[in-house]
Amino acid sequence: MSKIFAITLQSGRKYVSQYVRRSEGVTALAFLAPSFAGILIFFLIPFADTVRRSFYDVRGVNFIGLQSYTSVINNAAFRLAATNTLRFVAICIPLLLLISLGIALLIRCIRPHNALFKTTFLLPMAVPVASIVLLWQVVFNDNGLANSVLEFFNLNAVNFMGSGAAFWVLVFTYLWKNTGYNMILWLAGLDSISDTLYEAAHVDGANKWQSFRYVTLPCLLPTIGIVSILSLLNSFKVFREAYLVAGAYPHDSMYLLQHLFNNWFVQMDVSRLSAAATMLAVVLLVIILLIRGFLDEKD
Amino acid sequence: MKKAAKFLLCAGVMLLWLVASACGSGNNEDGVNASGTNGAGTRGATPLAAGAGRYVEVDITPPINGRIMLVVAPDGGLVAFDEGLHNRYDSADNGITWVHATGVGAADERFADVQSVGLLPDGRLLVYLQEEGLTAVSADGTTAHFPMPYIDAGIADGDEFNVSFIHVLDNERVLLTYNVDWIARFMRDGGTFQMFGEEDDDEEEETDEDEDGQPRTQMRVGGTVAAGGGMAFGSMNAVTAIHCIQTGRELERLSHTEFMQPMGANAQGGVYTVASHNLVLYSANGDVEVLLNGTAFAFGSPAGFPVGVSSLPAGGFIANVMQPAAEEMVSRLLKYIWDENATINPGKDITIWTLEDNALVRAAITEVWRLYPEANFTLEIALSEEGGVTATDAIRTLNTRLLSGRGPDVIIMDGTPFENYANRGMLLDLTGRVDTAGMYQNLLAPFAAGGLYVLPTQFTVPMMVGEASHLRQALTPDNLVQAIVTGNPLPPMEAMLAGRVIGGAPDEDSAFMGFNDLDELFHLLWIANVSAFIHDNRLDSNALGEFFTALYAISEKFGLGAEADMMQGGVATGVFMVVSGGGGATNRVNMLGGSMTNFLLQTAHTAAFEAGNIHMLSSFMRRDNMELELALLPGLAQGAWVPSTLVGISADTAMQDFAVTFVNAMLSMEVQRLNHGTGFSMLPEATAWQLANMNEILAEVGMPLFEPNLDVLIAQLSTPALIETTLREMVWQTAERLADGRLTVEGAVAEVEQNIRNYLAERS
Repeated sequence: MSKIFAITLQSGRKYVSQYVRRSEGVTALAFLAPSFAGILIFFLIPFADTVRRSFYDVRGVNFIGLQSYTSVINNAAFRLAATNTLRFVAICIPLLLLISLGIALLIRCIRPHNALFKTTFLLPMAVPVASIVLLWQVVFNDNGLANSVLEFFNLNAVNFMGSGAAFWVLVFTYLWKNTGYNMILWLAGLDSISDTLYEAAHVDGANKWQSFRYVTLPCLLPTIGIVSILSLLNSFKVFREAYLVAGAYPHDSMYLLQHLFNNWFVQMDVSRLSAAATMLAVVLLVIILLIRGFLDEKD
Repeated sequence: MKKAAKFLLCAGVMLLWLVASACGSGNNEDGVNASGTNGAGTRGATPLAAGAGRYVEVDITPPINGRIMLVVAPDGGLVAFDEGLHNRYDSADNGITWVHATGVGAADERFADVQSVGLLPDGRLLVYLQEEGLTAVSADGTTAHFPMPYIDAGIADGDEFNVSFIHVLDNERVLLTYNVDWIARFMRDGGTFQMFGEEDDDEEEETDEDEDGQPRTQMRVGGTVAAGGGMAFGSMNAVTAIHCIQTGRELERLSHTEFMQPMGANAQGGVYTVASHNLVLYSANGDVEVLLNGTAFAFGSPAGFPVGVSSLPAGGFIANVMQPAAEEMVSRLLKYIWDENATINPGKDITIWTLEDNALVRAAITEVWRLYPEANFTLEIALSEEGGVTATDAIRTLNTRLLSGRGPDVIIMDGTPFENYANRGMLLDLTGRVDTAGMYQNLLAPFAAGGLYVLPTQFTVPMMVGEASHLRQALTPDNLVQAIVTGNPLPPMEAMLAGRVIGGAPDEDSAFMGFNDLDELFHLLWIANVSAFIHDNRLDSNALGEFFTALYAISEKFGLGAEADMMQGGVATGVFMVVSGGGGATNRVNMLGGSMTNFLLQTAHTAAFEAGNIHMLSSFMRRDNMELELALLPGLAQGAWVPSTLVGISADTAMQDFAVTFVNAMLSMEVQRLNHGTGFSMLPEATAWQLANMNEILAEVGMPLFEPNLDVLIAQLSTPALIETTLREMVWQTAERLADGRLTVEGAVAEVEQNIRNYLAERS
């Protein structure tokens, strides 16, 4: 009898355990559902439609196969935009990571009196894009502030928005705007490193550089992944400033993929736009997976 | 239990999320309206479900061929008079039937200049007769003076009153709109502009008594007046207020941004007015209601203009609209009654999209609506007067709607990348669907190759005017530039402003052609040349260089760089011209370009301009003792012309047949013969009709007939100008830098090559 009871109790526990696990799963799904619905409606379904459209004509009626893809790859505007975008990302992301990390380390050194600095570095994020654009126009116009300064020092005026300098204006804008945000991410990562690790390294005779190299950096690896991916995605938002400052057709050096996408949409060239967007999404996905793979391996 | 609650909460949030998402996706179309389109958002014109009701328009015009003066009697009876009060028509059934009677003016010429008629409670008419004052007229024609001390005293002093509005209030009080020989006053006062007897702002009221001892109040206000339960006064400084009839006290100031002309008032003290072709009712409590959307009723036809609205005691109202007839403008009385059971034919319900308002489109809507009263139109004007939306934003929204399959049925392509829509199969091939036989075939040809997806319904032409001997000096672009550059400069601005050259500089001192601002010069050269240096998605740098060389040379000649624009000395120069729509269109006020201004001021022998209005053309070519001729403005593009009011039909429309009907209406004689002022007609027959109509008017006033060589010139047109605004803007920026000396011609060419490289590459 007691054996039967024991078996019953055991199976009952198992059942209860399964029930609890299943109901937890249902609860989890229920909590995830709103977010998932949003992602589904606003990202996944539109993206699926974009992929579909890349294989069809503009009206989405006639199948045209890879025609849009070959046209995009052979398009000079696309190649220029892709090159510029790649160049922008290749220059900006490392610079941003280094500068924001450096600032985060500096600010951490002066805690607890660093609140003012944190706020100051975050301020550019609070400035509306329209204001930034206005400021940039005042500074980088042919007769703007920057050229006035150059003229004051008897230097030649620079056509900032109509020459290769436009690219560096864009780089500066991106760094100026995003450094504060990344700094906060770095600070969060740095705060998560236990002080005992530094104390142990100090006991072992490590100097500051060695503490950074062998304690800080390895512990920051997860943060590096997140910051890199966010920086990469944020780099595409710089188009707002570029578009508002220089319009749909800026100087060659700052003609980005988003300019091309925007123009193709206005021109109703949706098939090529969809093909280019699909290609970009694939490239981004590969890059993100590579970053994660690299970090997982390091971890 | 807790889990169940959490689950329910979660499900609720999800549901809300989905509902919000659905609303968000639905907002796409609504957002278009909110962000600037001027869709039919009115009770009268919103696409309505069957049985939802709408205003029904009935033409109740009595057999009067001319201007009609309409009075609504207190008992609801209608009384209509023709000019001169020769005939009187009475209707006791709201205009369904009219009873004719000989008017008091048939045997009395004193009534010839009567502009407005009031109806006294005893049935007598109240009119204003020159040199006699207000006069009560009995049915048998006997007249009695109606005392109005201020007017009577003025007449005794020799003032000439012009009474344009009479409305009899209760107790024999009268509401008038009148002015007192204000032109003479304007001259006499040396520039102090006074109108409508606003002599003394402090003295707003004068009260006296009539024969029976009843008080009679006179208030002086500016502008037009309408009366109902209250009184609405429009004034010249754009302030309109509703006043109490009994006390004259201001009850409400109406909030409106544009000039408002009261058209009439209802018994509740609301005032009818017209705004953006719509009939609007401002209520005494400040409410504003759009009663009629001008796109859906004959009331809003751009070919005519309303002169008055009368409220009917039994409900509804009558609009007195001046519209073109064969030779002159005549009144039409249009009655509007709300019909709860009126329906719209679902097969005749189309949406028309246009970037900017377009008179020809409105005229076509009116025409189709006349033929199909059960039809409904939604005219979406993407760039509203309120602003806030750029053309690119509007096009982006249009593209989104087209891609979603919920786009407009008919698209007016001006300002849009129409070639992309056509090339990508978004538009219906109109070949065989639209009757193009009567059009200028040389203008149609460039659009008909490979299918007729976009159809111009109007066009303009870069032209020159001057004496033949001068025009012969500029047969080629090089000759033109040479003639301008080696010719005389324009007289100094100070001399023009001081009036020393009004009436003409001595012939030998006149410039060949004069420009006052770079924008105009660029525009004219652009439309005459652009198709030569950008074609087949390629840039011809040599042709562009020639364009810039010409631009720079002429700009230098007249100092059109940054330092010397048209605001020289802080005063804009130019001539305003009001063009009557003889045979058709709403009057338009145009500020002429500097080139034409110089020509009209006779400081230049010739003028270059973008021609598209026969009436203006006639005005330009009228100069004493000179035989003026027209010629195409020489350019690198052979026979350049500018297509306008380009129309296409969405390939996805479910209203294909009715959309085609609409496009055919745009090309009908009824619409094309009207002078919209925005371009020449695409029908030779309509052009001939406009010319004949204008010449009839000229003959009536004893002026020489206008017989231009238009057919010959139009036959030479072969190259439609590229009207893509993005490209123009990019080249314009370089042109500005060239004109003010920041770039050389070579530098300008290089800059354009660089700037438009991506533009061209995107399209390859």
